[in-house]
Amino acid sequence: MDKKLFLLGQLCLFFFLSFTSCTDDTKGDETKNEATTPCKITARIPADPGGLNPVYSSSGYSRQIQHEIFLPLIEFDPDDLKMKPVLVKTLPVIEEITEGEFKGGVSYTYEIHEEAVWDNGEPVTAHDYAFTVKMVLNPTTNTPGWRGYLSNISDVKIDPNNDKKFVVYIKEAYILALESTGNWYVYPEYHYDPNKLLRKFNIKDFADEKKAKEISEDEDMKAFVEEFTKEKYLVDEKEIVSCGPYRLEKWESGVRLDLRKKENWWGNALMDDYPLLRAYPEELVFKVIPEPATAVAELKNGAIDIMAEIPPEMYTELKDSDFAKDKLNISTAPLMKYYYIGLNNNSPKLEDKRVRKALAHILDLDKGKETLMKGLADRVVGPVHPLKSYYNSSIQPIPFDLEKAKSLFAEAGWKDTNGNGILDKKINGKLTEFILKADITKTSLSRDIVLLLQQNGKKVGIEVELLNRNFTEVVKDLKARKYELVMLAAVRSPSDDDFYQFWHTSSDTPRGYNRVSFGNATSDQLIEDIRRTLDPVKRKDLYYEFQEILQDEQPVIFLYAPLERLGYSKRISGKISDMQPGYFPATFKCN
Amino acid sequence: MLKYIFKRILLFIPSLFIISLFVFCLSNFVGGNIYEDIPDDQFRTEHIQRRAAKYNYDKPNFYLSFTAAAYPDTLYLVLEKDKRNTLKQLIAQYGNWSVISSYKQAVEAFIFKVHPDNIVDHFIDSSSLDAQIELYQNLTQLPILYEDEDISGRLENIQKYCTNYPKLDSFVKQEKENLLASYQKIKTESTTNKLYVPSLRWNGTRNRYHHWVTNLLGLNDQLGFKNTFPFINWQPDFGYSLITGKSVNKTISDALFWTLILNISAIFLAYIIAIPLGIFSAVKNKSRLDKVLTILVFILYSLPAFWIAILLISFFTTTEYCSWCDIFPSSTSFGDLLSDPSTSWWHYIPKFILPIICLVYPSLAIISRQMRGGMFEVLQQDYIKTARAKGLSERKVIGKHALRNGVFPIITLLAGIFPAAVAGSVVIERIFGIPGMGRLLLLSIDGEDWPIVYIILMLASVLTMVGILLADILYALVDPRVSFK
Repeated sequence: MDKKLFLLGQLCLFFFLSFTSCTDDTKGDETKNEATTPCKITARIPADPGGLNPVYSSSGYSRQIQHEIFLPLIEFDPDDLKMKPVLVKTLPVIEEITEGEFKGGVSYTYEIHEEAVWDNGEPVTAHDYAFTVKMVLNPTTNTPGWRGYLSNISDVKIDPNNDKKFVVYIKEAYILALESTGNWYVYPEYHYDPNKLLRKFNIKDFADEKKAKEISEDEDMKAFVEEFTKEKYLVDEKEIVSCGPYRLEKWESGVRLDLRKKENWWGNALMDDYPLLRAYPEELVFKVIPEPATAVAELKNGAIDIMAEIPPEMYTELKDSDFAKDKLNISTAPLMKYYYIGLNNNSPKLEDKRVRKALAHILDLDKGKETLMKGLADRVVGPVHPLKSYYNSSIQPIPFDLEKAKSLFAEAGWKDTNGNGILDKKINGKLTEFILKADITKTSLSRDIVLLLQQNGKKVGIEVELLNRNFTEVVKDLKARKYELVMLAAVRSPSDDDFYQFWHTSSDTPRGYNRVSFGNATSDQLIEDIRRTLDPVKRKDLYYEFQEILQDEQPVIFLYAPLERLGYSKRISGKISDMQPGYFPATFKCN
Repeated sequence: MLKYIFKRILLFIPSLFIISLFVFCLSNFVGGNIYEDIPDDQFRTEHIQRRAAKYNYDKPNFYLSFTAAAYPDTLYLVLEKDKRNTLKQLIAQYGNWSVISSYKQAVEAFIFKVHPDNIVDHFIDSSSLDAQIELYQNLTQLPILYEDEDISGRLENIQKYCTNYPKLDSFVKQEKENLLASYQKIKTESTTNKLYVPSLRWNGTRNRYHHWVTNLLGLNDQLGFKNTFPFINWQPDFGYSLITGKSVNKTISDALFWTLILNISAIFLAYIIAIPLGIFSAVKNKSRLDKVLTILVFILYSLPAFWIAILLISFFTTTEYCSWCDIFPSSTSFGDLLSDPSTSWWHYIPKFILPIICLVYPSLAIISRQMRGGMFEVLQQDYIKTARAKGLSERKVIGKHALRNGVFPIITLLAGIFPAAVAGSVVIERIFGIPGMGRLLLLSIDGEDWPIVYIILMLASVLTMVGILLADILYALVDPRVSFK
């Protein structure tokens, strides 16, 4: 900041006192940059991460940077989407507990690498792990996102002879329990809680609402929270420390973040055996460039080495350009995301599944893939990503078939009785015309899909009305379930799917995400069984069944999974990934 | 003169107060919901309370509240905006708060009873369970519905499930009857006449506006009245961003830095180029060169800056179109200099050439036209003729005698410079990746980050007033005929 103020002052002086011409010495600059030998990779992010305290900063771009600074115990390998050890020697030993206080639960035994140390040279231990759990579980720390995840942890027992070894207890079997015990960043206790204020609390007590409240009112806890929530832990380079390969050296808010690899990082020796400890470049730079056209120009002139989220039209242009061919690798990766048309399953017009299916039949999605998505997408038939082992490949996409749609509408009792060209039906004694109101998001795709529905709908005798509303208005009506049809997108993760949040009826509340009001006792039971079945073979059957139910009920019309469009310089080599954001710069090498 | 300036500065205080009120009111009309991202769990209510307390949403908005008598003075305590608005709508329709509030309680009790977590064993058959689920789905919408048609529809559904499933009915009998009766009561015991009775309430200093203003002035409670000279120990607290949690002070000062660099350079350059152009055009009025210049500046004026910016970046920062085309440094390279300790200020100049070009060229037309107009008028005056007749050199006539009076329109433009210097250009900042004020303001409005929006608007208003004051003073300095007496 001092340098900046100084610069600003000088600039003003320069302009107001001596307006003399100034020679351009950029050339000198460039040669200086080229002369540096260490491998430096520059990536583009579209927005500033805002903050880098992982429990508070969860935007996509802050995660991308935290990924290089902080380490979890275990993580998904971006190459094959399998869970692998990071801070620990192996994946945990998992045992069902048959007796004692956590009977019926599951225990996970971890052992942290002997080599693993924090920046001050102290070893990473189970105490750091326990500290992080307590910090998150304490209600006044305000980490709701993380707490939902970690609240499955009932207790942590540290081996008295080896403080790198510990057992995590989970009270109930749950498919995502493995993730909740280890797939999050461990905080260094020495830095965030130097006086070890949290050591006196027991993890067990946080599960009890009353005791948790008492703890949060304890003076030590209050002092800790006061310190921990300070702004410096969000933005100050010196206060963002962990045991990962990179250190945040400089953060020019809104401009760039410079990460430098730690000298003699402890993970260097383990890199060959542990793919998730790979960190090749000496320097990583993340430049904030909001405008994609600018970013593409920067990719061409070498100011950045790698970028994702290239807009489709620029992507095809790059792909065809000879200039780019010599300098860049251009490719796509499947995104863990899909678009769908949300249908209000409670609405009298849409409560019959035959009607919902008929709507799916009138969309020519195969053609739309080429015209609307420029071929940069895959069709999806359900919420499960095709790469998952339990993806039910017997489910076929609903074909474009207007005749079938007509007959389905007729079966459901929709006929044009008054001859006005629009299907109608008596609902509660009132003649209702089949006119659907459709809401869209800001994306052009959502508008295009609705227009397609509108066009083809006319051929089968239904009317679709496109509403142009502010999306905050739409969300308000989504919550109140006062909508008929809306274009939406959902994000998937490499974890095993837990359908509770999107498809269980208890999520059908104004704040819940089952916004299409799908579900009955059978589907609820299935969702709960999937959550509790740890045997992957048994669970696969349940997953298959659930996907079939969704196909049969068609509570939403599944559309496309878009492809991520990436470009990276031929100066560097590495692998792009199916995991967001499509690339992990630390795994790239300079040629 | 000094007395006049002092008076004007004193006038700032009421003006700023009115502006602050205006900004504050606007945010209340459009303000978003700061509790949106708090997930459902057992601590949700406390989270909301803590968050509300941090941003003072658990207090009334202003010293006074002026509403219809039908509205209770405690409505602000319903912290969730959706629910509060629903209650407001219900009151606006029926006017009887006490029955509306008992309806609200009846809904809450019913929802609690049929919550899926409280599934009760005596519904053995799955169809009753389904009915309970349907019942729950219908009920959870009630707290955010207010139109009679919507509510009645839900209530009908609820009754339908109850009649079809007697087991369920007996389980929820009391809650159901309470709910139906209380909704009926809202309609039968409506007191719409109360909606026409105005009521004025005094909320005291425990209100959101008061907190905001005192923090802004650095008069918060610790310093407040204990310290007799609060401004010596001035510590304004602008609050925290709702999105990133960073302090507003830091967020704005970061953005201001870039905007000032860009705008000071651009404004200065624009005047340095446009003023001589204007003078030249006025002196060589109707010459061919004058016409060419006029056409040129107007062509520039009509070219959209965002388009030119993208073209300049695409053509002149890469070698894609020709081998010598990368004559300008890449548009994000100014950031590289910041991490290099050996750089000095002159290194920045070439890096900012492109954005400055894009900021300067559209304003040339306006400034040079104003200058030309002012100058042209002055040159027709008799005293210029006299000066020429006296035998003064043309240079002296124009530079000394004409310029001083011809510069009046430029002073008028100058009043707008100060707010313009901090306003920042949204488009240019986005295209060149410069994190300035324009981008910050846009992002903050889009994200409903009011603490930042307030401060930017206040800053702009202060600077506008300073600009106008300065222009007035400059008038007096330039023209002795202007006097403040």
